[in-house]
Amino acid sequence: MAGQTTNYLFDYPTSTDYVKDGATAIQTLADDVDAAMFSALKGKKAGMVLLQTQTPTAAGSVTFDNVFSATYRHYSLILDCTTTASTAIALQLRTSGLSTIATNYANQRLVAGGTSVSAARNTTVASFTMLGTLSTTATSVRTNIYSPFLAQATQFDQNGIWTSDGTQIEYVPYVGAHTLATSYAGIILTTGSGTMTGSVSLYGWNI
Amino acid sequence: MEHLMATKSEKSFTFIYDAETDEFIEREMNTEELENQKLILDESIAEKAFYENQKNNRASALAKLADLGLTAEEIAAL
Repeated sequence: MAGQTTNYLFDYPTSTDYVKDGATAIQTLADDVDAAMFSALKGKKAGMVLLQTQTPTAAGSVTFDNVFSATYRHYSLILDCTTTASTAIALQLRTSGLSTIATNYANQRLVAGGTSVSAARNTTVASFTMLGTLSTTATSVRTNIYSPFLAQATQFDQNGIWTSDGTQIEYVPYVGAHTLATSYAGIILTTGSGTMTGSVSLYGWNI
Repeated sequence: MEHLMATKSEKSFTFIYDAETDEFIEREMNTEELENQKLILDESIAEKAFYENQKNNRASALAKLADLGLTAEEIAAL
């Protein structure tokens, strides 16, 4: 007697069914999967796809190589980590296994702390800073990376949380760009000093 | 250099994922990577100094406004 899976009720044959009916059973299973996927996604592709998560321990840097491709246009990076020092974590683009460390990055930020707001711009720096003065307590931040695989300037944005002690929170809307019209295949995150421990996940966006 | 020496003695590690080979690699950071880390530290220190200087200038300006007779509410409204 045939059975069904627990969650989506996909039909499957039992071990006593005839082998000659195997093709029909597989078609029934395929139809069930197709119907379930169509119902869940309405015929669309998933909007965001988790490409990879790394869980570094005491890392000075974390690299994702050959992760950018024509499959996805834009990407998001989620960083959840603690560090051994209150330090910056910088993001740099990579191609052919090499980091782009020339001063072709630029950024603009607002910093809201307490009742004061300030702004600053850097036009020739060697990285896009993920977090300015990262706390040694757990910190999370999401950074979007726009069109890194295309031969055009790559842009970044993030809503950051800067804090030196875990309680003096500063809200930092932060945007930037790598100004060269070059295609890149990956990224590297590097601590200014000390190490980081936690998880780093990279997602691709379908458009 | 002091930073580089300290990092080497602590044996900083790098974690690498290569999507082309689907491999995870964990190894000690090489000289190029340590130099890059030093560059990032220098930029971080410069940025932090700029930011602290900006905060100090603002605090000084607010104190001068208070000396001119503006109330705390008036200053906060600026």
